[in-house]
Amino acid sequence: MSGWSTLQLTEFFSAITRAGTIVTAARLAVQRATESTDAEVAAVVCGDDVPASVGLGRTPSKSLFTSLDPGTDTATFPSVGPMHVSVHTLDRDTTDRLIVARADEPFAAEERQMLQGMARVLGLALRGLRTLEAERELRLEREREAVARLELLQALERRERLLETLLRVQRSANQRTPLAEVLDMITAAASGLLDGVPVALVLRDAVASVSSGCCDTDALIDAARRAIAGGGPVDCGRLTAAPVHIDGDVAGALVITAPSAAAGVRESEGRDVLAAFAEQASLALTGAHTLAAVHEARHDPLTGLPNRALFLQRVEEGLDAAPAPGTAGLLYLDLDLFKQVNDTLGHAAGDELLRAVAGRLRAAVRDTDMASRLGGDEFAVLLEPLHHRGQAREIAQRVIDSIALPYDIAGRTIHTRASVGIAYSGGRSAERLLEEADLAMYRAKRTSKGTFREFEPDMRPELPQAV
Amino acid sequence: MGASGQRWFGVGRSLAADPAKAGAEACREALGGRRAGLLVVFASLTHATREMAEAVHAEAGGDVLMIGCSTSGEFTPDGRGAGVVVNALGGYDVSVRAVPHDSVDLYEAGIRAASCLDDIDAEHRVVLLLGDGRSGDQQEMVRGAYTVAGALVPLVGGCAGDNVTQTGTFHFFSDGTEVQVLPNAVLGATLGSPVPFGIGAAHGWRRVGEPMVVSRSENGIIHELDGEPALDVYLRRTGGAPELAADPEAFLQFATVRPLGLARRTGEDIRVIFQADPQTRSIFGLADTPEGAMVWFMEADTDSLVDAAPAAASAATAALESEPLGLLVFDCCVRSLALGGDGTDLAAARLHDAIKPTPYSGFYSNGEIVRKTQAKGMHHLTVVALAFG
Repeated sequence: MSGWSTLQLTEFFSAITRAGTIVTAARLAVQRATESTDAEVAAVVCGDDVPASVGLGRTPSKSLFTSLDPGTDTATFPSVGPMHVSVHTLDRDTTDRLIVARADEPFAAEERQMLQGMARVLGLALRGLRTLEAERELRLEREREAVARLELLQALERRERLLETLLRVQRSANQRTPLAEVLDMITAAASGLLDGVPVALVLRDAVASVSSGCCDTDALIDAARRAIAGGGPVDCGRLTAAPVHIDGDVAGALVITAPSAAAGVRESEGRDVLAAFAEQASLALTGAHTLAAVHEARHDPLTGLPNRALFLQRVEEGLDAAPAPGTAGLLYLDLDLFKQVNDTLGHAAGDELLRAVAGRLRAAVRDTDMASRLGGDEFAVLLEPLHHRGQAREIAQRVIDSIALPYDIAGRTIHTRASVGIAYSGGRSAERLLEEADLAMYRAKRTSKGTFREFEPDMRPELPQAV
Repeated sequence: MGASGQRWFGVGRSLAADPAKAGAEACREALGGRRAGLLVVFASLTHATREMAEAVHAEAGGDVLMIGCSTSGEFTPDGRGAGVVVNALGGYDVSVRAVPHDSVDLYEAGIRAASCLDDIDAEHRVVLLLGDGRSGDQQEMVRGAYTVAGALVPLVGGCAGDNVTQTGTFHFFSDGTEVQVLPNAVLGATLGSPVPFGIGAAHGWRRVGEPMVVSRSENGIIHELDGEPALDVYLRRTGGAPELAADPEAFLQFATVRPLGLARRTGEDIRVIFQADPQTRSIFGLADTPEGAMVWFMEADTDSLVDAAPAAASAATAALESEPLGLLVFDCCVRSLALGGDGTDLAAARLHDAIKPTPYSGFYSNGEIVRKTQAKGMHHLTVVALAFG
């Protein structure tokens, strides 16, 4: 369930997109910011001007607000006395900011994050409105060329599209869409707005979501690390990264490839989109509460191994990246005697055995391979890269030998063994590859438990209907 | 404009059938021979006439500030009824404003109504607002008023009633000499005092069941909840019969006591549902319920609803530094539907017990106003009290 802050932000989105002038948008922002945080005072500062303020009467001195810079956390206002303050810049290129002040208690991390989101949306709205006002003047003056006018309109259209997209993602986040889907939506939407450049979300040194398009994972992670270390947006070759927060702590980064000049997207717009979507990702992640939720969404809670969904996604990506036949392989493992352990020693012992098997499996495969628990007592391993079939057989045997060593569980010595099926890549989907490895495993289990078999096309009809 | 000297608060009520007679009687009782600085008049729709307003004003000497509005019933320590109630106040600095209906938008109306604050220079100030819950989103009016009042001056008040007939409301106003009767207006009065005013609010409703997301809404009309037609979800979750959708009167009776609550940082904002459209399967709220918001069904038992009135009044008097001289209470008219006649009498009796012997009066309102720390502005199904010290 989403927190109250994301809901407030959604309402804010809806309201601000209806504002027709800069003053109206600023007025809406100060109203909504105070109402949603039970604050008494708020102002929007643009340069030396204060287009809207609330809480200190109709014409408070502008310097009361223009003197407050980002990082200020308390301020004293005439008659009202000392207040807790939260200051949020509207965009990277200016010092324009949203200031909110409250008497009773400091702003919590979630509230500051929400206010930052509001500030960011206001910044985008103000830019759009300024562009619109510029366009109006342009029409009156009739001095510029038609090309420039068209460019402005296009920029405006893109801003409107950005706001609409943010709103759409925000609504999905509120409608209890699974986190993984929301994250995918964020990278896909950001990519869509930037004419399809690759966009990736990196969390704790792993790519959690990537838009369609080919990316160099190491370069992405490197760019993300720099953004995390720097605490702000960084340019890193053709990549630009902005940190993503969970409950106010840096947890990762959103990374985009610099749009090419030919794509017609200006560099500053790329940065705006990055900043807006990094806020969006932070809110979605904070809504999901903890990093554990991120991990759990794609990992088996018992063994910590990637779950079926993540495994299939990785296999699909691997197959896309290296489509040549035989360059990747897949092992499908099924434990013999697992049911007996569960039935005689209980589920706790069964769980412990599964954890131990997972540990041995992880140790028996190479660093570049990926082990996964598909469910029950079934595991799978993606073997990549693969230079020849002998390599796969060697790893399969190593896995079988390792799993067959005795286990010490609940004061008892327990034996189990794995039957393994092997399938090789080549013009087939991840699902199909997994099915072939499963058929091969079934053949091994039927003919000689505790061995491996490689998939052959004639194994297909043998799948019994009831299994 | 104002007065000075000893502060006092008097209440008078009359249930006389003739509006002018009732107005004069109520005013005479409230004054008790004193000279008032401000009259606050509450009159049932049957008594909301120019003759009544002029009679009240004349009874007070003909040169006195006056604000007031029509109601869905009034109450005083003498009980509840449908007639005229006059509150007379002396010893406070007072200034008043009236904004006729449709003269400006509601945000600007709030600014103008609260601009009476400019006339009063006192250590403690409060702006009393009498709005009209039938004309658009009154939160906009409160937002306008807040830009004038700011963090230092609380806003409090209620929206005029029309005996729950949904026909229209009236406001009574005088800035000293002339008496005006204005339909659907916004009125403001600033009171200044060397001692604080006290404000309390309570509603007694609580969340029930799982939350829903408002997946489509527009201008107070809720089209979809959780991606389904809102009316279908509403009737299913409240256990309402499908036939209700086609019977506006029955739906109103059913829905007003089954409101929605909007998620807020501290608790929830209540939204009264009052109408359904069986064709579009939508439901209508008395105030905007924004798209993307999360809402709950709200429920209340008789005891917690009854106790909201004494709770609001006690909170208001507790905020004073001195003995209370009197209270004004704004009690949502829909609460009476939820409580029934006996429950409403019980609420009135407990209110009386909680603050006796302090004089007070109130009316059944179409929306209640409190804007101060921890309170956003417009409230519904709520009791709001303003205590004078």
